[in-house]
Amino acid sequence: MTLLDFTILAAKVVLVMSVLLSTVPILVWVERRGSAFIQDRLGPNLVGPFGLLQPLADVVKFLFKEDPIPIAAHRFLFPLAPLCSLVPAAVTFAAIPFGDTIDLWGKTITLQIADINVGLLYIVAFGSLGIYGILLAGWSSNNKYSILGALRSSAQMISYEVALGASLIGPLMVYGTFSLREMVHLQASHWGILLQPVAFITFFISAFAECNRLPFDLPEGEAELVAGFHTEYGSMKFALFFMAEYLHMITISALTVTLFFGGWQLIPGLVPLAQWIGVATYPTSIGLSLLQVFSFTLKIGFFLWLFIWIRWTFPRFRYDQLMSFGWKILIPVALGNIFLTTLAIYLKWI
Amino acid sequence: MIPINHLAVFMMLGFALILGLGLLGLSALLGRVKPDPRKLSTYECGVPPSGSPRNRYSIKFYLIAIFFLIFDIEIAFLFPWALIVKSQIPLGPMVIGEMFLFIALLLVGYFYIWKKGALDWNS
Amino acid sequence: MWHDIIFWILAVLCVSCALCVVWQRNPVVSAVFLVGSFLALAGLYLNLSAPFLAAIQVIIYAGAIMVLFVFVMMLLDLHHPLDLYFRFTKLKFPKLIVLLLFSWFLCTLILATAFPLAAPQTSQGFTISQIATLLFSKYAFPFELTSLLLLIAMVGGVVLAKKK
Repeated sequence: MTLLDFTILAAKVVLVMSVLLSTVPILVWVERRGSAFIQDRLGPNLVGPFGLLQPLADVVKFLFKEDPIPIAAHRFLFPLAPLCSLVPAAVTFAAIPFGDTIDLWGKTITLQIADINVGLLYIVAFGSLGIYGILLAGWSSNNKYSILGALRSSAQMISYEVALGASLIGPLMVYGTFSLREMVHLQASHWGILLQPVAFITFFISAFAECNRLPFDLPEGEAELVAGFHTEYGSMKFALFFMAEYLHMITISALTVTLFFGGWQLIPGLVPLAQWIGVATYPTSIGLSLLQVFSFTLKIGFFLWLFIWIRWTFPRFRYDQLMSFGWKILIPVALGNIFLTTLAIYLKWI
Repeated sequence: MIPINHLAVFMMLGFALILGLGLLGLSALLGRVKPDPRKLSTYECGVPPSGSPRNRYSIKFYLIAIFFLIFDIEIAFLFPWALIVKSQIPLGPMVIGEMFLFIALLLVGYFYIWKKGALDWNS
Repeated sequence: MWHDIIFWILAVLCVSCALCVVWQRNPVVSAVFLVGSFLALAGLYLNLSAPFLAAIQVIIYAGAIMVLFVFVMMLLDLHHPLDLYFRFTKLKFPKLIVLLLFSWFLCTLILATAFPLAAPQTSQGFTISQIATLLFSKYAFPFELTSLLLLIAMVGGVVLAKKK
C-alpha cells in the first residue's frame, strides 16, 4: 500500500463524510418545507431564499446554545449516548458503492470507501449497534419518560431488526455474495426488485421501524411521551441524535437502492440524454462515472422523499399494533419469502 | 499487511469519532454555561418529579429481548447458508433440507410462543 | 505498520474496557464497557483478516446478547448490596493473598506460552463460502443441535416470564 493509495483513501473518506454531513441540513430543509407543502402551509421561508439557510441557522444555534447536563443524569453515559447513536450511523455508509470505477493519476479508484467482502453484514452489524444510543440516552437521563421511551423504542427496533435480517436473506440467495459492489454488478441487466419484490416490501417497512420514523415513531412521538428518550437532551447532543437519525435514513435509502434498484446502474434513458447534452460515456470515462453517481443520488433522493412523504401522510401505529405487526406478520412474510426463493432457485427460475 | 479495505473501516470509525467528539467539544466551548437548578432539574411537564425513575418495568421487554436474540442467531446461521445455496443445489438438495429442518424447529418454538401469548403486547 | 498500530490501540482498549467492567459499581456502566470490549475484539478480528467473524461478533455478541444484558440491568433496578460490600472490605489480608496468588498464576501462564509459535498456522484463512460449506456438510449435526438449543431457550424464556 503506497502513500498514494493511502491519500486516495483519506480523500474518499473526507469527501464522502462531507457530502453526507452536508446532505443532513438539506434533508432538514426538505422535511420542513415538504411537510409544510403537504400540510398546506408555508414552511421556513425567511432565512435565505426559500428558507434554504434555515438549517445553517439551526447549526449555529446548536453550537452557541447552552448544553446542559441535568443534575440527576449520569455524568459519563449522558454525553456518551449521542456519540453511540452518531458513530454507527455515520460509519455504515462506508460499504456502499456510489459508482463503478474512475481512472485518475494512473490508478483505478473504486468509488466505494471500504470494498470489504462482507459489506452487507457490516451494515447490519452497525445498524444493530444503533440501539445502544437510545438505551443509554433513556437510562442515563434518570427521567421516567425517558427510560420508558427508550425501552419501548429499543424493543421496537430489535423486533424489526429480525424482520430486516430475514428480508435480506432473499436477495442474498439470489446474488450469492455479501459484497455490495458485486451485487450492483449483477444488476446490470435487470434490477433486484424484479427478482425479490416481497423482500423489498418487508425490508422497506422494517427500515422505517429501524429509523424510528412514522408510522413507527410512537416512542418519540411528541404528544405521547414528551419527547421519548431524548427528553432531557438539548443543544448539540440533541443535534447529534437528529443527525444520527437522518444519516441512518440516508444509509437505509442507499442500501435499498443498492440491493433492489440497481445501485449506481444508470437509470434507463440517461445515456441518450447525456450523449445529446454532450457528456462522454465510453466505458471508463469520467463522464460515465459522474452519470453513475448522479443516477445513484437521484435514486437515493427518491427514497428520502418517500420517507418524508410517508411521515407526513400516515397516522402512527399504536404500540401493541406495532409489535404485533413486527412479530406476527413481517417475520412470517420474510420467512415465506425465503421458502419461495429457495423453491425458485431449486426449479432454476432464478 | 492489512488490506486497504479493512484500513478504510478503521479510518471511517476514527473520522466519525473525531467528528462526534469535536462537535460536542465545540458546543462545550462555545455554548454559554449558566447553570440554574430549575433548568437542570428533571423534566416532568413543569411539576416537580414524582416517584423514582428506577422502578421495575414490565417483563415483556425482557421476553422481547430473548426472542430477538434467538431469532438473530437464526438469521446469523441463515446468512452463510444463503451465500452457498445457489452453488450447492446442483450437488443435491441436502443443504436445503438441513436448513429447512433448522427453520422448522424454530418455527415450532415460534408457534408455541405465539400461542402462549408472549407476542401479545396487551396481556 | 498499520497492522501493529491498530492492534495496540484495540488491545489496550479491549483490556481497559474489560478491567472497567469489573471496577464499576453501576451494572449498566459495566455492561457498556463490556460492549466496548466486544467491539474492540471485533476490531482485532478484522485486523487479523477475519471480516466475517468480526461482523458476526458485532451482530450477535455486541448487538444481541449485550442488548439483552442491558435490558435486564435496566429492568431490574439493582442496588449494590452495601452490607456485603462492607463485610468483604474488612478482610484485607486474605484479599492480598488471593490477589498475589492469582497474579503469579497468570504471569506463569503467560510466560510459559511461546507466543509466535503457539499461534495456529492458518495458511491464508478461510473464505466465507468455505466456512459455510463446512458448516453444512461436516458440522451439520451440531448445527441442528443448535436449533434445538434455541428452541429450548425460547420455551424456557416463556416459562420463566409467564408464571401465572
